[in-house]
Amino acid sequence: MVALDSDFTHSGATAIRYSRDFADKRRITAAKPKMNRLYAAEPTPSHTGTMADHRLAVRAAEIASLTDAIAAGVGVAGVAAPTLDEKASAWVKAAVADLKANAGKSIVITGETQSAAQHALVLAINNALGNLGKTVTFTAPVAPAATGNAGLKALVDEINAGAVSLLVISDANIVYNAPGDIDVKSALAKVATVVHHGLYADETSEGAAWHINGAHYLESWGDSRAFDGTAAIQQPLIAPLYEGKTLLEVVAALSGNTSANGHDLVKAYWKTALGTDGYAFDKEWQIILHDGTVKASASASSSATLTGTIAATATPASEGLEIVFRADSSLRDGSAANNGWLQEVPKPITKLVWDNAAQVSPATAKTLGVVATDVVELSFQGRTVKAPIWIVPGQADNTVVVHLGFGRTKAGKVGDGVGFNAYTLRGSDSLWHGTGLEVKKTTETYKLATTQEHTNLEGRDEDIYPTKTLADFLHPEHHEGHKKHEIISLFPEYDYSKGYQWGMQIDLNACNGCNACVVACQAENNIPIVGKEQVLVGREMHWIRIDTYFSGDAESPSIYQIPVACMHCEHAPCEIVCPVAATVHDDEGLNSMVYNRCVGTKYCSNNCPYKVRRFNFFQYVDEETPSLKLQRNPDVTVRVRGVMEKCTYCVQRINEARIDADRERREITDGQVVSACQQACPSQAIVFGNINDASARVSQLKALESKFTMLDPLNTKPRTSYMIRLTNPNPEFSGKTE
Amino acid sequence: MQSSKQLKPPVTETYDSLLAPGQSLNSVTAKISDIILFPVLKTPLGWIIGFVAAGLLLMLYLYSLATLFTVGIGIWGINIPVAWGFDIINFVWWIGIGHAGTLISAILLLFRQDWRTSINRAAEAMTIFAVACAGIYPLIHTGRPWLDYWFLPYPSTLGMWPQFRSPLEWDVFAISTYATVSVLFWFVGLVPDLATLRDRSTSPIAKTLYGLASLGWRGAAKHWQRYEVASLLLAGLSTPLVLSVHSIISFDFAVAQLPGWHVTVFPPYFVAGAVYCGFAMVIVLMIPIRRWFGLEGLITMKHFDVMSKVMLASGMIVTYGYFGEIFYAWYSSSIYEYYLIVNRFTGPYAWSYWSLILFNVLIPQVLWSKKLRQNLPVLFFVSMAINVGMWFERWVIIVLSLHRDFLPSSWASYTPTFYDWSTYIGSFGLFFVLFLLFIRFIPMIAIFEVRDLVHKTTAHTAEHEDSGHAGA
Repeated sequence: MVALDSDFTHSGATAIRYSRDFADKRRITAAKPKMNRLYAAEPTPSHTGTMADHRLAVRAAEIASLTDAIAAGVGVAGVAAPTLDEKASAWVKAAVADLKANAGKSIVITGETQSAAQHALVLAINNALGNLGKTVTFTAPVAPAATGNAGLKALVDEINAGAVSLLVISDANIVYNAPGDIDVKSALAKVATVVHHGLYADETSEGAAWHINGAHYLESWGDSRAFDGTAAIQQPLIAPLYEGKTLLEVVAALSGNTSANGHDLVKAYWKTALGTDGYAFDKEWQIILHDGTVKASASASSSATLTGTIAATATPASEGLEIVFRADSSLRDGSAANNGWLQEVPKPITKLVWDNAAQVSPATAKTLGVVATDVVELSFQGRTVKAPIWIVPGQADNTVVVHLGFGRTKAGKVGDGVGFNAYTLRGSDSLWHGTGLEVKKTTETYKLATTQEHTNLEGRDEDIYPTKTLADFLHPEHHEGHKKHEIISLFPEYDYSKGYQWGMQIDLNACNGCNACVVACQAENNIPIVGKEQVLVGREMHWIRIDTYFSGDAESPSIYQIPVACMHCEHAPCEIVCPVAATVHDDEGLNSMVYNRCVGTKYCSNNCPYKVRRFNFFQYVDEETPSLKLQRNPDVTVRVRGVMEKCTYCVQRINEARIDADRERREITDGQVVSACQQACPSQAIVFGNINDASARVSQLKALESKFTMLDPLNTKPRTSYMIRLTNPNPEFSGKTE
Repeated sequence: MQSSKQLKPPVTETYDSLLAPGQSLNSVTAKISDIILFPVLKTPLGWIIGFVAAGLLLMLYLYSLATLFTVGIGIWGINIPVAWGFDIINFVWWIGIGHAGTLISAILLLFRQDWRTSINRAAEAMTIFAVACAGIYPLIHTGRPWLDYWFLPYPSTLGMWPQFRSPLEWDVFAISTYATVSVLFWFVGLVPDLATLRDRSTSPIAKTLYGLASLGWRGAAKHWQRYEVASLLLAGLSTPLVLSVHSIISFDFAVAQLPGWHVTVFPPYFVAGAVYCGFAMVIVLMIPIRRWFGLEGLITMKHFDVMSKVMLASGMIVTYGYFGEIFYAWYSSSIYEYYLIVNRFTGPYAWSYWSLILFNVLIPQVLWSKKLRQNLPVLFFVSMAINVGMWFERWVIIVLSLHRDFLPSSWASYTPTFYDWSTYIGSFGLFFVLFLLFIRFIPMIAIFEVRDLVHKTTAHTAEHEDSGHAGA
């Protein structure tokens, strides 16, 4: 697989599906000792890029040259190979050789941020490789083709020409997120009546005459289509808390049907669409509601042919600094800016929270004479913003990456004034990247909060993040094996051979560090957010975190990501030091935290080698706000000030399963207990279950050769173990192979 | 008393004896009790100024504690991974300060070291006040201090006992026993002197209060005999405590598996460190006090000389410990232990490690010189350096071990806040308020013991005179 500036496991409508499919092809079993090989070229480390066997950091503008080179290499007619630097050409050579050797079993993917011409060329490459119909399939478009900002520009022109007197805006914050060269705000002021419909009163509704309170999707009836065309019926979980109206209802009202409600509208549509009536429809409707999706509604695969001439896409190399715009990993376009969970979830790679930054590579920082947290002035196409610097190893040189979604002014209590607004830099001709950026250092510095200050493994790879190449793993006889000492304990071992014994297995070949587990855990376990100031002093509360390490040289490091939560050690160091027995072991191997008993000496945290314990230094949980009371999981204790907390392996879910099993007079079956992190993991990296049951999936995984436990020499006997990260580098490739 | 007058005349120092020449039984009693028995309104200005200053610090302390209880321990700079900071540093530091008193009063009593007599009372008082200051920290460092009573083993309706495997639980017993025995020992030792004050005071209030406190002491032979037995017993009880308390406190660290904490030499190393800074604190307190109250005749340069030697010896044990830690890091061939030392030498807090070496290892080497040992400004400076150095030692052990442990991902830094400092500096307020009250109302030197010493030395001289060795 060759990914050209494509974060296909994390970005776009297909990300979750691709994330899982990709991980499936990276899993090694005795029956399938094979894995795919990923080449990734990108300007800044993405989730997908960190999983690559051969990652190349290149400027976004140079992706086109790489694509041309690959096209020329695989024999796309009419494309000549451009000259590339040594590193890039070695990478291209290896990729091309592999692509050719695996014609029909390979794929080249390019990202959403790349141009249409680039996509056409990539399609030609896949065509030349005979991948069409095999690894590349087509369906009819689900959504109308995006027009970029042409539509918005046309609208603003019309308004400025006085042609618009009534404007209805729904679910779009165009005042905030229009490119900097389109002045939406002053245009809207010229419209006689602006009606805004949306979840929040935001920057756009500020200038509108009317604001219609929108309903959240969890409060709404509606329908949608997945990327492959599968239709899903959207069902509300709760009646609208603030009597919001859905878009369907607003549109119906505009067309005269003021009394319509979402449910009736959706049902009426599907009655027509399915063409059934009466009892037959009711039955079908119930099945759809039960399943959530409409059966066999996926679009049939169709074929497509390339028309027109395929040409090289590379433009003459432009010197100088390049700016790359990226949607923020959690806030995306900024509409989620008022969500504290998403503000506080550490950004992948940088681990920054509550801010965006101007990210540069270590070499570029040196050239610019800046260090992390220095404030610089970014000027692009005559527009300027101030941004703090953050240094990202593995980013392309001469590239400044800024994330969209910050700098909101009317997001609400949580999101106002967080970070800087990168939309104002964006030009409508350079939505995702452009050259000609100027960076001016100022004398200011800015405090950036990160949850991980140190990203070097300090030579502790063996104990924390061992890696192996697939070849070494399959043929260990070629290398002297790592001698494992049998570590003994002075004390008799507790007999854990009876009953349920809970354990977890995390596959580092599947985890791409997407953070879904972190937020899922936070939602499930009533974990508070603490805010930037508290993160700055090291008091974030996440029970599971994704540790990121850079290994190798700063230019092209290997990037490791590893989810870490309480390991539920059988020899738990935390337990013996608690003076009041507030953290104790149960006979099912859980390291339990008894909040009621906790006095808060914090000794347990000091003695935890994994530092996964979290302390309520203040009363972090807001117990007053009424709407937040509804948000909490009633099965999980809400912790007060002065109490230690940590991952429980979702003990409430274990107990729920136990009650169900008891009621039905049976054992808890494998797969019945799914921890929140496991449930949310798109690539199924996390597996939880009863390790006493040899047939359980977790037991089977733990029996594999590639299992390791973190900090094994301490003999803590963690119940959470990992699968070693395997890489599958091209043995012919002389370049860096992780 | 006439302290202002006494400050003026040049002091004649005594270097080779525990008593200046010319001390008689009466002069000793008068000298010591006169410091206490004068009208309240004539309290010297210096004392009042000191008391007000200490009182202000105490107010700062109370303010800090009130904020702590109402807002939460987040007001401090602690975090994850550095979940212990100033709270435990100061706890161990204060406990260490206390050790000299017990060592002087108990062990030196058993070893019949006469030089202890003039300084043991004040040192013991220092012990008790330091233990009080220390004991507060573990109580307030918890997240929910109102539940601290759960540390105690009592038949609870919760059906829960404390968790006896935890070193923090051992601390509960170690500190409470230590505090109890120290107070008892101190009070028992006070009884004869309180009776002296009762007899010498003229104010009816003082007479009544000292009378109540002296428990009917009449100086009968029976009283003295029982007193001797009681103090010997208490000394015997206290002696193991000198070793056990700081050993147990060192277990707070040694039992954990954190690099920098998991060290088997900690118990003796901690005890030596405690004696080290305890004696330093005694010297820091005694140098000004003897000057202000004109006690040069009772606390002589000989005392300082002997105390300096104790400091030097315990300082060398501590230094051995520092080298030991470096050796273990190499010998263990554990990358974590090894990194700990690298981090101490060159990490972000290397300045504190090198300060520790400067204050605890290098500066005290001047004590090898007898001349410098008996130079009070130098001795005062060295003792202050040791107090600071021992504080840095606890800082190095606690903060430098916690801030970079096993997983580099959890490495972080620790910055003390205003409240960290105010709960530290404020605790001096508590200490000095108590100490100033002590020197104002209780004989700071054991009258009867010094009288005993006077008796012995005069008898000794008489003997010498008898055998013809005049002029001793």
